[in-house]
Amino acid sequence: MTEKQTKYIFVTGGVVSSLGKGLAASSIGCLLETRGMRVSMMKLDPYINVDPGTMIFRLSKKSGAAIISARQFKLFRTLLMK
Amino acid sequence: MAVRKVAENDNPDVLIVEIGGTVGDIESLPFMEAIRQIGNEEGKTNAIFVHVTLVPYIAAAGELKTKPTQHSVKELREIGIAPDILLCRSEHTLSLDLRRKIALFCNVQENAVISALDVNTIYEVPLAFYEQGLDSLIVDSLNLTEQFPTADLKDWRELVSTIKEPSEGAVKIAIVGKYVELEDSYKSLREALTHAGVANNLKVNVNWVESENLMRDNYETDLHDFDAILVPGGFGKRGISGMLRAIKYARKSGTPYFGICLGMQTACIEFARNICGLKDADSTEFNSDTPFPIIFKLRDLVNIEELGGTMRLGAWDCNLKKESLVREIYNGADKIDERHRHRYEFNPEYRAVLEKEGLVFSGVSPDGKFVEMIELPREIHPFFVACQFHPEYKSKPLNAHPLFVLFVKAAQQNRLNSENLKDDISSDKQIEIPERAVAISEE
Repeated sequence: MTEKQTKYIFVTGGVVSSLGKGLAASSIGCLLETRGMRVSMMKLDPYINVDPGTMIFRLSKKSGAAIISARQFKLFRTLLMK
Repeated sequence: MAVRKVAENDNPDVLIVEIGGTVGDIESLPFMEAIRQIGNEEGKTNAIFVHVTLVPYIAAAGELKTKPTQHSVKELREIGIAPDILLCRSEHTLSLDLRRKIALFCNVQENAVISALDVNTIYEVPLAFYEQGLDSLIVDSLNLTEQFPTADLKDWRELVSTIKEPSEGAVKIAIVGKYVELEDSYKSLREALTHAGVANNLKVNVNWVESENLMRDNYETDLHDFDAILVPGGFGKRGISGMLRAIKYARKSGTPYFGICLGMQTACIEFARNICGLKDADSTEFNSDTPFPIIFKLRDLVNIEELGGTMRLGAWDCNLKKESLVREIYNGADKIDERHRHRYEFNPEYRAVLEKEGLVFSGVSPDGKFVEMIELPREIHPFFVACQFHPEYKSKPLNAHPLFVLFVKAAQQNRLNSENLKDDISSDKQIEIPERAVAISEE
């Protein structure tokens, strides 16, 4: 058999955070594994693994836009592009 | 795009992709657009959307309210995503009427409105979903029923029953830190201990000890009752002195100690100050003028002023020392890889000094620059292990992390020993006082 078709399950959350989205997603994964499937998981999150506590923004007094350093910009860009 | 890459490289049957944040946040918009496009390209039988939402209970009206769910689905559809399954978090069971209502207004099938109630342990959630037929719903929608017709939940049910009623009793572990009021920030740590408990058929009772509270005179009494002590990761100066006291207590009393990240750094500082006589040894994070910078930033951070993005993150290799305790714990492996998240590390200049006084550097990065694991020899202490990385990130419910498994086991052994000691005292038997105990009483 050639490479099999990977199926996708996208998990989103609404209303409030801390609903247990990750728990729901992993529980689904757990159930599918008990059926013998091979399951991979990933999380798309602008804050994952990026040291969010120190992602400091300054707001421009004139325009109100966020000013970020070139390095932060690069970091965001690579995150969004990959 | 990363999602496609994972699908290609791993080539799993199913790839579950969680989008952080809630619908409507601007931060996650690019991700939402990306999954909408993938959904469109793949088609209905290859990609489904599961939306987790809240159905709050309004006590004054005595009713569950579906409006927030309707609104969040509306928002989702505005960006072009129509959810196939709704997982409704609520305090009370959703009645059939309510599920019908949600199905009608959110445009999903009635059996695709799943109620997700609060449960006793998070490990019951898959079982609760199973009972509502969530897994068959998913495999049906993805055309996978023929290939994967039945679920085998035996192992999982066993896990849940062990968590609820372990046969070997319980151990009591103190986690000494400063964010202890925010238990969820140490979720993976708590669960890694639960997994290790299951592996030992034990219940792990965790007590969060605020390290600042250990600055009282008779702080030892706060720690007497525990079978083991753990200092987890953390940042900042506050509470460090309390952690050092807890570590000193664990070291001298022979109480099993496990340090993670900051817990390794503080263990090194404690050892340097109290055993090597390096007074005021410290981390440059807490005291930039310390005469003995035991912990510092190894990487060249010149010209980088902001803190963001300067951490050592992700999986890195680590070589384990021959005949060390950790090598035994890792089942004889000479090389492991573990996940990291730190900005400061041990200063290799002080390695020889600490080594001379008996601290074992049992795990080091392959280039020899980063100290990853330390321990005390077994002749001196039954279990004194600390690591710079975060092993809790790799622990799984049915495959607990060996460091935690052996730590919990050491805690159990410590409990059994002290119970025996008590029995001996009450039966007035002659007993030999271990050397360690003498050392403490001399303090």
